[in-house]
Amino acid sequence: MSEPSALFPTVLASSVHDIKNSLGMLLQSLEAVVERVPVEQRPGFHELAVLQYEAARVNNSLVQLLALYKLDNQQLPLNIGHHMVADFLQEQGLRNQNLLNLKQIQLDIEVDDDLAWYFDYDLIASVIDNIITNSIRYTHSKLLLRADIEDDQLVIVIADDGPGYPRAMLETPDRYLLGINRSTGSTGLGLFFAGEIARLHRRADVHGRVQLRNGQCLEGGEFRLYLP
Amino acid sequence: MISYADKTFLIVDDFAEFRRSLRGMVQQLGAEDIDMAGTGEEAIALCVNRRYDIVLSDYNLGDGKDGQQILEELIERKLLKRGAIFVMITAENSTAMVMGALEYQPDAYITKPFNKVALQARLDKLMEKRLALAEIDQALEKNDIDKAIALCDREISQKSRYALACLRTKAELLEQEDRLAEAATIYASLSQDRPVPWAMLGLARVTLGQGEAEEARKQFEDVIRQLPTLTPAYDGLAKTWLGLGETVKAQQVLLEAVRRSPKAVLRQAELGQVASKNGDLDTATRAFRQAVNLGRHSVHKSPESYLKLADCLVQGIGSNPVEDKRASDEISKTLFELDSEYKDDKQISMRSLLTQGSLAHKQKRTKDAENAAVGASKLLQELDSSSLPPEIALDVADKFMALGKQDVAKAVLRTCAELYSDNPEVLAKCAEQLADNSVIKHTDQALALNALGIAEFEQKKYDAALLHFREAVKLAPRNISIVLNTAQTLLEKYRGQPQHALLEECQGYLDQVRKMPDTDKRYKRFQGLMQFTQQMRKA
Repeated sequence: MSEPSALFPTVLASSVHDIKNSLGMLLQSLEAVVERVPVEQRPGFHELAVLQYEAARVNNSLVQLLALYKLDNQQLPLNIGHHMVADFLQEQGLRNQNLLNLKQIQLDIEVDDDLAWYFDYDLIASVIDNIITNSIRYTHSKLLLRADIEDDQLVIVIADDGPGYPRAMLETPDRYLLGINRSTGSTGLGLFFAGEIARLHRRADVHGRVQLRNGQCLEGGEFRLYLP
Repeated sequence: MISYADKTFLIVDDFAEFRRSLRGMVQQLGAEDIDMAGTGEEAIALCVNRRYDIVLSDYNLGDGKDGQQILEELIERKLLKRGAIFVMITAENSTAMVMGALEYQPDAYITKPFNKVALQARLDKLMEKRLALAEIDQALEKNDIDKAIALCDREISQKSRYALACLRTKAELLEQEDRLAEAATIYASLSQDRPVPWAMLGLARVTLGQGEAEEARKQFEDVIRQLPTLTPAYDGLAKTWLGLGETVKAQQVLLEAVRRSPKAVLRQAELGQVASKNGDLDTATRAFRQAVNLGRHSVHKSPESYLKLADCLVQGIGSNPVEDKRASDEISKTLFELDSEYKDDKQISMRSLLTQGSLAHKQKRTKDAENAAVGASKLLQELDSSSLPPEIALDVADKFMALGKQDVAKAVLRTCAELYSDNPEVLAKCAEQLADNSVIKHTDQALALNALGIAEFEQKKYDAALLHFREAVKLAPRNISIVLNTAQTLLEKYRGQPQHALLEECQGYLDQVRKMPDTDKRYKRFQGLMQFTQQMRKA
């Protein structure tokens, strides 16, 4: 019999894994249900939007928990590949398309078609997917995905026209793991995760990082991910 | 718009619900020809009959083959046409799979859940890439490596969106062509700034290939430090340690890799080998047991693992009655499965019998041991001991010896010594077991003549070379290297002056080694020489 302290994280990790599988099926079925609803009836189908949004949130949290658990155990693999940024951002947008439609949010993507960069596709996808889901919650009507090169680093920006990030978050976004904020339900897990994943990306001695700003491109919150 | 109407699809998933949902999505993309499979075995069976354009397979398929094993088998058995697209569908982050299996990678991983538009976007990109690189595929299909490299260079210099993919293909082709320095330059330039896994690994692999073991060790260790989940790097490091003679360190590295990624059949078998070499019976037994269990659904299933597992278990017998009973049951079960899986392979049947004999001998069942030994020697006669690779011949001889069949054992060892006399390690072991040093002295002279012949052949002095080779082959008529060298020189001479007698002589030498094992590195060369000789004789 192992020590309870050693056993628990393992049990937790494998349970999370199992829940994740079920949730995958649930989300897939939900997508299928949405597909069956005639397109013109979708906008305003409030319950479907809630279902999709909440399920996506649970899914993102589980992905992050699993990844952080592995990171803690030196088991999180890093697979730096060379990817077309436009294709990548487009795919992240498309993944959330049904939800965006249901909530009548307009998503714009601004990126040079030929821009390519080095990063771990899966990990950065989890980061972006999570931030998009989060922004869908806070934005009024618009989301912007933008990418370009600044000082020889790739910068991916996710901006909205919502109320912006709380002040406390702006200062130390990736250390904003302050327990659950009772009014918003936010734990800061997503930003913590984003910061950890960004840091794994490095070029020579420069590591990736995240930054939050308010009142910039869409006058709302702005999430910036720097990948060297 | 890319059309999927004329494309054939295969969908593999163990959940009927998900299969239907995926088929629905693919149909909405315009696909009409869609097959579905619920297990890996079904998927393989379908692929034997049809070459699909696009395979969408879930990774997790329950108890049988998983998605990765399907992909491995399709590639190994050449059931995927070049230009086909294989997409692996996973329930979670797929990076762990990528890092564990660099050699067999799908064209893309896609993570559940996904919707129709995301799938379409992904498939469209893959199709565009295939289309853009079709010329390279065609050149590779025709095995025109130079052209493929030139086409890669074109993409690279145009800085196309596939430039990096082409750079990787180019580096791998250069490696395949043994142009290691050029490959190293590419890998090094890519791994300088960022930890790009395949480039870092490629660089270390090429360094090892260039014979710089110490430098390769440092590089592999650096890869592991930066990318601890990249398990192929551990395999490379273990190989490097083995080359440096550090078998204990090799074992440690393999153990770590197995701990991180326990499902790799080949790695378990390798660990078993290294642990045996180190005399670590427990580790070897466990590793071979894993290789057998994991291998059942894999194209890498090998009878060697069954035999080695049984051998390890036999060796371990004698500790205590309860353990012994359990071990002997496992031996029976293992060999029974082996016998039924490989019942047409005489070599395997013989070795299985020998292991059964060893067990009986150890358990003092004299009659059973004798029967097994007699049966095994009959099978040996049928299959001819010159077909045994040297390490197997030595093992087989050892077992016959222990079972009291000294004559059979000695005959096997003599044949082995004759065929492989240019391998000092094998020769020394044969001499040791035979307790007869004359086998070594005898071949020293033949090898000296062989060396002279090779030098002359390289200077195109075929007559002089032939003189030495003929002397050598007289002394060692069944030494594979000497026979092949002599044959090649005769054929070279025949090209200059086509005399039929040269061909007859050549055929005579080649016949001496015609049973050589097809696992031998020189087998291809032998086949080539044999075919050419036979064609010329008929002409």
